Amino acid sequence: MAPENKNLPYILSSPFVIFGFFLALGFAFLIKVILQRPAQLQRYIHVQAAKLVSSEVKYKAIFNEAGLGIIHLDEHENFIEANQRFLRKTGYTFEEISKMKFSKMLKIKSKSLHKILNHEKFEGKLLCKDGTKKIVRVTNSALNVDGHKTHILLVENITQRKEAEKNLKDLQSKMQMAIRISQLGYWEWDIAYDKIVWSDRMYEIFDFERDHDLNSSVVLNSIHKEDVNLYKTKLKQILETKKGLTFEIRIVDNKNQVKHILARIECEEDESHKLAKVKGTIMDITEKKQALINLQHSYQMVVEQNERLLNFSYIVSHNLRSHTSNIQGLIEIIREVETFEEKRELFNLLAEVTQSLDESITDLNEVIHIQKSKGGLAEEIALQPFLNRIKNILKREIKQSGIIINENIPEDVILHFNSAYLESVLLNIVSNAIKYRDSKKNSEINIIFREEENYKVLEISDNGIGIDLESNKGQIFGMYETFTDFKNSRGIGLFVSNNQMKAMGGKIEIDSELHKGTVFTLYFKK
Amino acid sequence: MEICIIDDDRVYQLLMKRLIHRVDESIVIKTFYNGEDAFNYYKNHPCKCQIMLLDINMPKMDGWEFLENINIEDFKDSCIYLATSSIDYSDQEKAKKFDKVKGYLTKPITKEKIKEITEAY
Repeated sequence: MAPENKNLPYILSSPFVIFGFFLALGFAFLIKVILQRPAQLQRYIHVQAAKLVSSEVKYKAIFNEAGLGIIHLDEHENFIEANQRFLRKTGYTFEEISKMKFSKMLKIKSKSLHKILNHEKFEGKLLCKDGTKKIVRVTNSALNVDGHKTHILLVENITQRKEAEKNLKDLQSKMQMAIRISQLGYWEWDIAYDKIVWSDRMYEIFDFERDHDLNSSVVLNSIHKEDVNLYKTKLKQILETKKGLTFEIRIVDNKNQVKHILARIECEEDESHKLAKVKGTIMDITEKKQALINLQHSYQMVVEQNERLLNFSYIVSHNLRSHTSNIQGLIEIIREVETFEEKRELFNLLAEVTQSLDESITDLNEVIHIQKSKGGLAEEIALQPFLNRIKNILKREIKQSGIIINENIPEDVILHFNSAYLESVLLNIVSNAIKYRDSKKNSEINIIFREEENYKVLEISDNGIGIDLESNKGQIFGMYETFTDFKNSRGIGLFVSNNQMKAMGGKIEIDSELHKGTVFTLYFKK
Repeated sequence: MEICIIDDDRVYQLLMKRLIHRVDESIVIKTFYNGEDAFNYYKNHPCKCQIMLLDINMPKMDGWEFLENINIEDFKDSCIYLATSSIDYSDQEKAKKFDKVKGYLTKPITKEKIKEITEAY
């Protein structure tokens, strides 16, 4: 047991030794760490310094080579720094601008910007060394350096952009003016949504309120009834071919006015080549159309007047002249003859010629009057009572000639015609039938009424002496055409009747055979 | 001498008869009231007239038609004059197309004119 006890203090002290050992170890580590710290810091400083240098280089590079002019000003607008781009663009050296104030280089429109550095953003004209001006936009950011307020200004050259903007504006205003002057209406139709957008002029043309609902059926309803099929055909063609079209069409606007429209249509496809939009312009060409129609009317009138003039010159040349030449001839002889008997005989002839001259002048007046009042007012005329009136006017002639007039006219026939013309036409035909009756026969006149598709027809036939149509072809309705030797056949009647029928949109036809009789067929437009 | 007048104007015919007789009372005057009557007559009778005064505008057959229908051989000894009141230029132009027409007279026809054409024959 004793040797065991001798070793006991040694054994008992061993935990302290271990503790001491670890303590020493701890201190050693601590000291090592503490001693290592400054070196690490030194390394950090190096890294940071390198980073700083790098960002300084970057900053310098950006500062100098930036696409923008960058300048650094103090609070009195004196230059502290300016980048290369700014110097290049203005043409100044830094020495030169360092003696200048920035606001002296800049012209600003707005007077309220007199203290420019109080503003974050402003535009103005930068005066360059060579005298040119550049439009610039300036962005200003304040910067405090060592308690001094300074400013970093980004100077952006917007001259080209301004020019482009101006050109765009010009172009826009030109286009708007062109559209305004040409009075074009612009529209777009989104097919998928059946949405229609109109320009102001479109609303004017259709006479719609601005808030009027628009879709394809609204437009379709505005198309003139007679043009609806044309419109549908054109629309179908556009949708199928996806190609533009130009065509004329009539619309009826909100006030029921018919307007002629010239439509130009274009198509717009989407990415998948499907028809997305149909758009185009329309132009109100009503006035032009009207002018064209008026021109045609004028032309027609000129042609008619020319015809009238020819008729007039025919009468003057062939008829009035024959009387005046007779009067001249008679006067010449009257001067020369000596006996009273002869003179009296010649004076009687002179009176006769004067009478004929007067008749011709009356005829001429009648012809001109008919043609002047062309398109005279039409009225509702009950045919049967009207015919009775005609018979009453010719009562004496009918009684003397013993001619029989047969009528087959329904009681309720109404003609839409000018009553003065109708009286003139019927008097002329019936009195001719009486005048040129065949005394060898029991003379009669047959008056028949019938209806055709476009005309109401009155047929007046007689069994008189007739006209040889073969040898008088094309002359029957001419002025002063006579076919007989009858002294009082004046030839004016048929010419006038034909003109009167034509003036009212009707016509007159003749069929005749020598010694058999004549049929006049009057066509009254329905 | 014989003069033929074809004209539908009765007054003109009377006037012409008087004027012609004042120029020369021995002249024989033959009258027709239209072209057809004259044409039918000369179809069956030889033409004995030396001068013919032909009107243009007449019923049934006018002066032009008369000229187109007659046989020139029958009238080789006659001078045919168109005598008309027409001052229409186109009538004068048309007259030039007919060789048979010796002249174009515009009414009124004076005594001097009658002297001139009778002496010319």
